[in-house]
Amino acid sequence: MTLSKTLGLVLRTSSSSLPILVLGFFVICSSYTDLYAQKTKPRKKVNVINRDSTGNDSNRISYERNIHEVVVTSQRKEANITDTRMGVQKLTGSEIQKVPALLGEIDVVKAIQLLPGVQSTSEGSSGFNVRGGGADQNLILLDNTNIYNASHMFGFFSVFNNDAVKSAELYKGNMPIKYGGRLSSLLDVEMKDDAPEKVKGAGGIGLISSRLTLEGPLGERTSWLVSGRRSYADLFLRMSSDPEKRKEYLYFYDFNAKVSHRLSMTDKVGLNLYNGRDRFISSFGDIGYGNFVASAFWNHIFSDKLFSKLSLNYTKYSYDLAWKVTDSRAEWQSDIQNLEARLDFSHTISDKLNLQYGATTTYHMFNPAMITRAGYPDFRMNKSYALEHTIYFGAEQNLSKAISVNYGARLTAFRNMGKTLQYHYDNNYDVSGATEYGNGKIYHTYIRPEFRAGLVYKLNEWSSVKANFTHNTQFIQIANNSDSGSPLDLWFPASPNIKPQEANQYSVGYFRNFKDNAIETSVEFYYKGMNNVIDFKDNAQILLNEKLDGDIRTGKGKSYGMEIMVKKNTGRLTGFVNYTLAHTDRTIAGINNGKTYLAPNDKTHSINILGSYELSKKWDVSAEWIFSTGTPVTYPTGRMEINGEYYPIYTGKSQERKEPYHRMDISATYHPHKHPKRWYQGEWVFSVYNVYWHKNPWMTSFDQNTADGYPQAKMTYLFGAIPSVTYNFKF
Amino acid sequence: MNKIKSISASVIALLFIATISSCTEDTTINTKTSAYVPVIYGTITNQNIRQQIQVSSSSGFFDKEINKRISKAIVTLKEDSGMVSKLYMLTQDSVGSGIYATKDPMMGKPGWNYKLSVVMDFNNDGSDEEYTAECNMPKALKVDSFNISKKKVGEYTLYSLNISAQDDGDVENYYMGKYSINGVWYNKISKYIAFNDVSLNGEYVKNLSVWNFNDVADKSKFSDDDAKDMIFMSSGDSMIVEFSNISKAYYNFINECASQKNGSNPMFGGPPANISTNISNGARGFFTAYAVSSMSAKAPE
Repeated sequence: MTLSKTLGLVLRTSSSSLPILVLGFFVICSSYTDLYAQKTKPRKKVNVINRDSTGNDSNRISYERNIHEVVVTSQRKEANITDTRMGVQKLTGSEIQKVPALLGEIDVVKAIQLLPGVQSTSEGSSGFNVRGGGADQNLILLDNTNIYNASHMFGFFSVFNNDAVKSAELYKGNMPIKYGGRLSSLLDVEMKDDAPEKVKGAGGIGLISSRLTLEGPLGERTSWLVSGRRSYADLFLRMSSDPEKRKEYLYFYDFNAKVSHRLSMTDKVGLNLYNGRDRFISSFGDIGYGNFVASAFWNHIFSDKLFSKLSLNYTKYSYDLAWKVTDSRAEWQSDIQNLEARLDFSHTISDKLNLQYGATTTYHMFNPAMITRAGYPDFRMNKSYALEHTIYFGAEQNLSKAISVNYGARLTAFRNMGKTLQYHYDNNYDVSGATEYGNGKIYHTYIRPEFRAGLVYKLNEWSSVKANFTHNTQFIQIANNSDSGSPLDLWFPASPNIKPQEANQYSVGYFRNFKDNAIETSVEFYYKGMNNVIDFKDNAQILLNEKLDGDIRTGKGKSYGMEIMVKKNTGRLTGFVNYTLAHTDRTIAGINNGKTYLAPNDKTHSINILGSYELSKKWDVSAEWIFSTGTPVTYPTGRMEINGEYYPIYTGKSQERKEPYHRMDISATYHPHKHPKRWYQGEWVFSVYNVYWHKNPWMTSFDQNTADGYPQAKMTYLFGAIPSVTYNFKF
Repeated sequence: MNKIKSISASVIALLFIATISSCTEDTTINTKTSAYVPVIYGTITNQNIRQQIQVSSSSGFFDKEINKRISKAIVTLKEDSGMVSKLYMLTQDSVGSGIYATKDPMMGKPGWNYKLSVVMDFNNDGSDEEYTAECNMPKALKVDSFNISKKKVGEYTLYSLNISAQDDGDVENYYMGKYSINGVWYNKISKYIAFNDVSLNGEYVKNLSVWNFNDVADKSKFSDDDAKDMIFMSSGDSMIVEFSNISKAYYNFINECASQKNGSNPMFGGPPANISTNISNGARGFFTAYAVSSMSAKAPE
């Protein structure tokens, strides 16, 4: 064990990760050096965060004692000034909890959507777009393992149970060098790993779901966490007078489990599990979808300068549909799986130079669809397979007191592998032939580099300017031309027909803190140029299409914009105001006659305001207001009439816009027994979503008026004002 | 396979609607009106009838008057077997109707090529433009038997149209059915039956369910808005279906008409797109030829 910091207060740990209080003296025992002591006004809480060998915050120890003057955190208070990376936003579980939520379901992704440069894909959706990128261009990690679909209930809630979330960090381009394979962003969600000295719990009972998280020690060397959440709308269906309704099920659940064990002073192993699924069962048919994620890791400390993390990660997203016919049952199954092994090193050369290097290898399996029905022939689409091997190297370097840089590169070989049937296409996208490749046969390889570079120039203690460059490559993507969160995701790989997508992003920014870093402000400008971005030809068939490649068109895209953020971190009033000015478009041969068109997620102006105020010891209130320009939409510019029916005629893509989107959400939290020494604490959260009932258009459809037979427009909105009440507790 | 997608989309849609508190209301949107274009639609069949072509103009999407019919067009149809060819002149019975028909009944022939020409000064610039389309009449679909069965799918009763036929093997075939129920023909394209044999691989299919109609007794289970676009059946209804082998392009046209008619759904529909056409020179619509095999059946009790 390494004694890396000794503070005025000394915290001693035993050989386990569990702390022991010793008469007011504490020794910070850490395996890594990223701990920061900061003088503060008197507080009753100290956070000790132990950043492990690979840079992850592995142990957070929170004490509620009457100690003063010093708070130890993993991050400098002025980190937004000194960090070389731009476009990084970190939210802790407690910050996320302050965001008023739809039906009281506190949600990591909905909180992320409030950040500048981030937009929801549609009303209520868990999908999000970052700096003009598609929703599939975000790498979403749960404890370092990929989550392919982070939504429950058709996107209205995310898969992350906030009680079990320690933090969520969003990188809008310049993601850590050990991660890659997506053009737009990394959302890195970490579950709690507090390693408490006794069993702790947290949970809540809401209108939609209830949840419970328990964590604690198992001996001196082992800690564990289990967390569960289940919705219960279907329980109300049992009360229905309609016997058919009583047979219906409508629920989702999440289950998280973590266990970690310190083998020795230098070795720690652990296992993380997540299983979540939505299940809808009706008399008409069923649908289920969800993620299963498992990962195992071994952290090893070679010396106080060199650390490693070896991990094996497995993830699967699957969905199934079934419908019952009198004499048989038809089933449709689809999934994507990958198995990843990775080895990451973190190497401190000196106080001024840190290196990160490592390698990963991933086995991808794509199963687009298999449909079975007794008495009928099976329909099995060709599965496809790929291997993805990456090596990376990166550095963070302080060149002087004022100038720091980070730089790095990744090199990836993406290899398509049999067994599969690969179609070939001519210049008109018609099938010109097909080749069947045997089991394990590598039949195509792409080798692509990725680059990251960042520079910060500190103007003084409270301000800096930064510049970043990233070159990212993406080898797998989603085939989904709907705007919203359909669970029928179809991921497909780069192949001889589809080249990997690539993006170069340039960004510069000015960062300035006020009032001893209590107020952070920033303005960032970015430009992102994209190659080989995909779209689909008119009237493309996405699902159950063996020749999907022939319906895909590829071309260029660009995004540029400005993001302004003002954030207040401390005091009774906390929150932020941000504004984003943005543009994103695509130019793809075969789409919109080859003319440039606005991307579906283009929103010129976005404003997000979030404020939380501590009214008293018992009451907190929060409010958020969201505004954005309406997204581009294609409306008919004419009609044709055939056999008494009218059909729309369009002259261009994305030439109109929906009405602007805006809404306000409010919440009030009542703490009847708010006292740090009390073993059990509860709180009531009252909230109203869309408080002034703004009808935000979700869909515009057309119909022939029954009276005169001529076309008319109809607008569908999802939510009026929705009140909710939730009871949360912890012990 | 189209049917499977349709059913699965329905399952999801029903569950989605049950999940959320959505609300739909009439609205007004301001759209630009594009320049008008000719709309030409017609089919040639192997039935001994006066074959017809409709020529009209597009209009503004929300216009409150019927689309203008084009009466000053010269419409010709040429059939060609490769060995012999014949030219037909189509004229309007009622000037201004925009419906151009062959003078006498004629039967299209499977395997023959058909070329349509419409000449008119649509843009009123003083000179005529020509709009053309060409197609081949596929051979007739040989259906060995056709029956209607009654089945329960969840809480709904469906009348299923079943056929027995030999699939053609490696060739992808596309089929349509126009039908009448109790003597009432349903001629709107969005009501056509359309299916394919992509998943059949040359097998003999016996009583393959190709389409379903809801029982009229279940009508109250649908909203008025949904029900007005649906076709319902009852026990004892007599049905005639004209099955045809059609081109892939016309199959796509039928499906696109059905899916684009009401705009796109952000959850399940793709982005709005023009319905495909095989008419040249910027016109819209479709011209095709197909052979008809007529079958009839009664809906069971």
